[in-house]
Amino acid sequence: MFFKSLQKLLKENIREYGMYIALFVIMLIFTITTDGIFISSRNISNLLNQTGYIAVLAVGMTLVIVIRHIDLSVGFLAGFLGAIAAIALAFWNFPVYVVIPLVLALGVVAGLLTAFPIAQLKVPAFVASLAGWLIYRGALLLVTAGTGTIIIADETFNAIGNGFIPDIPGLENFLPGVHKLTLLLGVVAIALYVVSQFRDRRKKLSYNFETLPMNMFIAKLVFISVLLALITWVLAGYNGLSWTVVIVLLVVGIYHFVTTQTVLGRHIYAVGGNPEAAELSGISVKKITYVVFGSMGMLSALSGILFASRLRSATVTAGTLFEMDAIAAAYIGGVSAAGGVGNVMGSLIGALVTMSLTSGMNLMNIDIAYQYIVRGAVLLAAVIFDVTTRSRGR
Amino acid sequence: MEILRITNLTRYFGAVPALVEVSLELQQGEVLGIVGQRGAGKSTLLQLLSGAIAPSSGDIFLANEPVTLRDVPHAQRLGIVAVPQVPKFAENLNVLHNIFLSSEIPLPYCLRLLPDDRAMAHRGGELLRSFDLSPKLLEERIANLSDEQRQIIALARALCRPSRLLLLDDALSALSFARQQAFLERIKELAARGVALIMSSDDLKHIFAVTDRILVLYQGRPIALRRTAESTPREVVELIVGSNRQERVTPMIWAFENYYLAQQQAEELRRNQEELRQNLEKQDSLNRQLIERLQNQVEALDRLNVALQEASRRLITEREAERKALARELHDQVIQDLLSYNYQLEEVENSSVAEEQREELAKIRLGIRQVVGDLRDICSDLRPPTIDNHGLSAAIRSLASQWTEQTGIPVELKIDPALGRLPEPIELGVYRIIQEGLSNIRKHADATHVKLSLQRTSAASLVVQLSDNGRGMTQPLDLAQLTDQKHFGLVGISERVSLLGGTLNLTSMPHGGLKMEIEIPSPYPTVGA
Repeated sequence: MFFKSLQKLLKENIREYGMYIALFVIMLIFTITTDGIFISSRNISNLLNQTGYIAVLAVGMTLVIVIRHIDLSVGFLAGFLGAIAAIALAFWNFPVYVVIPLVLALGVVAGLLTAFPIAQLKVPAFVASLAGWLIYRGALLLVTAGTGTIIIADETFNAIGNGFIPDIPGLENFLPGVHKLTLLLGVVAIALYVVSQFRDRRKKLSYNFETLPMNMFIAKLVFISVLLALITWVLAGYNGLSWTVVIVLLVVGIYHFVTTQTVLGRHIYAVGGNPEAAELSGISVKKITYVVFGSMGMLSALSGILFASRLRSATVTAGTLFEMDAIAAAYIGGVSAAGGVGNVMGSLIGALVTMSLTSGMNLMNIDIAYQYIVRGAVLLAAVIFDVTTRSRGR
Repeated sequence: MEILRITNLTRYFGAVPALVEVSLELQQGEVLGIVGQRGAGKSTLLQLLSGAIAPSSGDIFLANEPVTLRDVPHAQRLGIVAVPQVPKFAENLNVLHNIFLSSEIPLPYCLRLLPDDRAMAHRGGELLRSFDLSPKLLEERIANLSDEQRQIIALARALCRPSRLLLLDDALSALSFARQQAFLERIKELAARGVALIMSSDDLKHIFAVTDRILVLYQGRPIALRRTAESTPREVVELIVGSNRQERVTPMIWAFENYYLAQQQAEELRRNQEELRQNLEKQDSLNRQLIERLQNQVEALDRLNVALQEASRRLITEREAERKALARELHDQVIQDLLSYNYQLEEVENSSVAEEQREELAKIRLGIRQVVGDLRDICSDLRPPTIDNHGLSAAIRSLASQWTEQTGIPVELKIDPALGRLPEPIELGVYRIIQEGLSNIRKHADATHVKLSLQRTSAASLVVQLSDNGRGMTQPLDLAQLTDQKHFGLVGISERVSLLGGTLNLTSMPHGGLKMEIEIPSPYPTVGA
């Protein structure tokens, strides 16, 4: 009975759960092939930090693709803004609390600039952002021309990409070697998740919307909670949560809320579903385009900060191919190029899938050439899976 | 109060003029109808007013303020709401979200950022109910809607927005007749509340039902602006067609009238169809009931028949048993007693002196022996003695030779050597049938030769053929008539045959005589037979 309803649930929601299953399978395979090194606290912590700068880009890219556009300029924009941050810190001696908001603001401006020809002049996003790709690449070369790699000395800034959240002071003797604050946050997260799921369920029931049967609902709660607890435990065994992970979780949380709960989110999806209909309904498609590209620019800036901070420097080639990783992550996460379909949680999972592949294959010492081929195959498989399950669903 | 004034509004698509120098003003609560042929500029005018396209030249004043409508959202903020000819929706959102798209009801104290889905579901449900649709439709995907439902959702979407000026671009055409009438009433209500309306329509009945004035467009140019009360459909049609020549106007009026009539008739037809369907269903259920009753009766008859056969079989079996008992009684008791008396008499005779008495006694003994012989005959008639001990074939042989002895008619006997023993009811039944048949021949046939054969067939049944060369039958057999005439011979045969589950066939031979053929299925099929 239980397994039957589980089977039914998986069958009906294969699109939704497919990538979670894929991520699980990939992690399982690498754990076996690397004799458990892959799942070690150290590697998982590293993996999440590496995923960070792609994940924030993928979140922004999700919305861009949802409104039927694309942004190719984000990679070098991230690299360029990372360089600006480095320059501001190293040469202009700006304090880090000024540099970060400044760079984020610059990112928003850059996104709006990309959006201008798209929204106002109906230039295809592919072309407009390709121009941005070239321009920002040139700009990156320009600002690093005199110095080459710019070393960042600011410890606060570098902590963003390398540091971990502090532990609760005064508890050094309780569970030595385990990060207590991380554990606490993990418990809080699980509690919040369970509470929000119950509230959501009650709300749906009050509207007479369809909900999971109770046993499936409990099974899902238990499964996700155990998963969260495992991740927390693994992370707490190393240095705890890194600042990167905190930032990524914040970004994903905020974007998830905005896209699913707010009027703005609904308008973004409406524009993606049918721009003409959205316009005739009274939604300003231009405004939505500016908002989405502005957010994309801001997230590019954040990505640039994370990357520069992780390397403790701004390099000439920073940001190369970030946009491709972000787009791949979004597509693996279930975004549709036809518009109006996809969510930020999926893109986060997509980013984790691509990064897990990279990390796992590196651990297995697989040649870089084969790595690209495997990643390409996975992307293709994900999109084919998505397309076939969608046409069946309708 | 004046809501809208447009002066010399013109729009070119490339070099093609779609609308040329249209000027008009609209008061609060006024309903303006726009009519014209296809391509006359109706939709262009409404699109210009809704902000969907920009004018090439000319001005728009809203409440005496000059405005430039940048786009549809801008026009909506100014209170101009349009229902386009072909409604478009965000297909990835459900009906509820589409209705309230960009005019969501916000949750209180949330800076208009968060939508109040509960309030929207309530309001949306009310709107759908006012169109005679189920509120359940709110959760439906747009892709699953019919054309009429899409049109209704588009109207609902317009109605849930605050508006000063409502533009309906042929928005009623997809609705059913009843809903069109209801919505025309709604237009009047809206106008009474102070909303100004501009509606284009191909249906002059709609235009004349609700508008205050009618603007006629001809090839993009305004050629007339009439008060509805002072105009007639004929005049309007003349203006639409751009000619007052009888032969051009009349077909148009005809077409308009016919269109309206056809719509009305279609509605009537639909109702009739519905009624007919219901009637048919009723009739159908009645028929089913009748058939069911009939079936019950047939079943009852069947049961009765079976019971009757059973009773009849029991009767025959009991009769046979009684005969058997009677025969045994006679044989074992009466005949033995008589024989013993005969023996005593013989002793008396032997010891007697008087010759006269001895002769007398001898006579009596002869009489007794004759009685015993008669009794034996009766016994064997009651219960063929051979059948119990030696089986059917022996019994029949004895019967046949006895019969030949009695009647002097030779019987040509042919009995399957592999006949074997059969169950007692069958053996007895067959014996009685043959007995009856032979007795019939003696009584009625006047035959000189009789053939009798008993065969086992490959179908494992027993076939009895009895034929003679006598008179045969002069008329077809009627068992009921025979029963009335108290001729029970054939009736008894047919009864027994049917009790054994067999078939009886009587055929008159071409050269005189009668052939009786009986086939009895054997309940014990022999192996390999």
